[in-house]
Amino acid sequence: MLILNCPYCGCYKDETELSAGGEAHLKRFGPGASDAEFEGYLFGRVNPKGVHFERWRCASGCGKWFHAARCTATLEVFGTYKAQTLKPPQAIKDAISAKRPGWTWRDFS
Amino acid sequence: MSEREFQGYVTIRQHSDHSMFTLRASLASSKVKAALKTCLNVAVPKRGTYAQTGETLLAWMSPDELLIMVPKDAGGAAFAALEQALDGLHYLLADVSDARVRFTIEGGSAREVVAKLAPMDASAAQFGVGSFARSRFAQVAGAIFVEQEDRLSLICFRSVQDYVFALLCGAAKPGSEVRAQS
Repeated sequence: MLILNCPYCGCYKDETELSAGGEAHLKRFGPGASDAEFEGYLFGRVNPKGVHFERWRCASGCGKWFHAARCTATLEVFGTYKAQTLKPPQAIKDAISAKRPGWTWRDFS
Repeated sequence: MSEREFQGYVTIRQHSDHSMFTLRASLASSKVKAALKTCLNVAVPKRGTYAQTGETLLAWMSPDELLIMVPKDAGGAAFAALEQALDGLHYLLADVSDARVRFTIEGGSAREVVAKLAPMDASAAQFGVGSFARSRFAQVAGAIFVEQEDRLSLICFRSVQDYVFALLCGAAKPGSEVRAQS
């Protein structure tokens, strides 16, 4: 069972209180984008074994979306952070590096 | 339907003596804070808590949402006063009295009854007097706050009131104690 700390409520929320929102930090490709870019935006998702970034919604709490960095193999949670960002904060990256040196995920490392 | 009671190893009561409003606005805004203070004489509560003056209560629902509870007979006047005080600001105020109900759970093991139903940490250390939290109670969403060490209040949607009442009664059934009362 996944337990995440909602950065808005500031308390731990059980997986059953949250809604999963899929992969985090997707860049939108809309009008003017190439077919390949649009296809990637719609369907291209990574499914890593290890470090992963996801969006979650505090569904039976405050109702806000937030980001979580976790390991898909061990369910270890490296940290959660607010949704108003395009990339993981340095503190989260440092926390991952401490546990999984040399990790990469999409363009982040 | 509105007032009912169950005597288990804690007492479950349904109350309908409050009007409830939802306010969505920036809780960090000094103008919003001032409007609430002027109309209701209650300060905006901190995250995860509620604030109370007399029978009027403000609860932190999310970074931009408050639940306002005022005694029913003062509800209409308070709503009108709030609308007037917030006029010109970016806000949304709705009377949700008919959409929500409130239960109280009273007794030494009130926390235990909550802990049986919700995945949240209902321990006194994490969820002391004055705390307010939204969580999931079995299958439905609800909010809970600690008025006194032995008195907790639960707010849920009116559409699920029978379900929640049955749920609380089941959890409070004599003989179903997890720990002997201290």
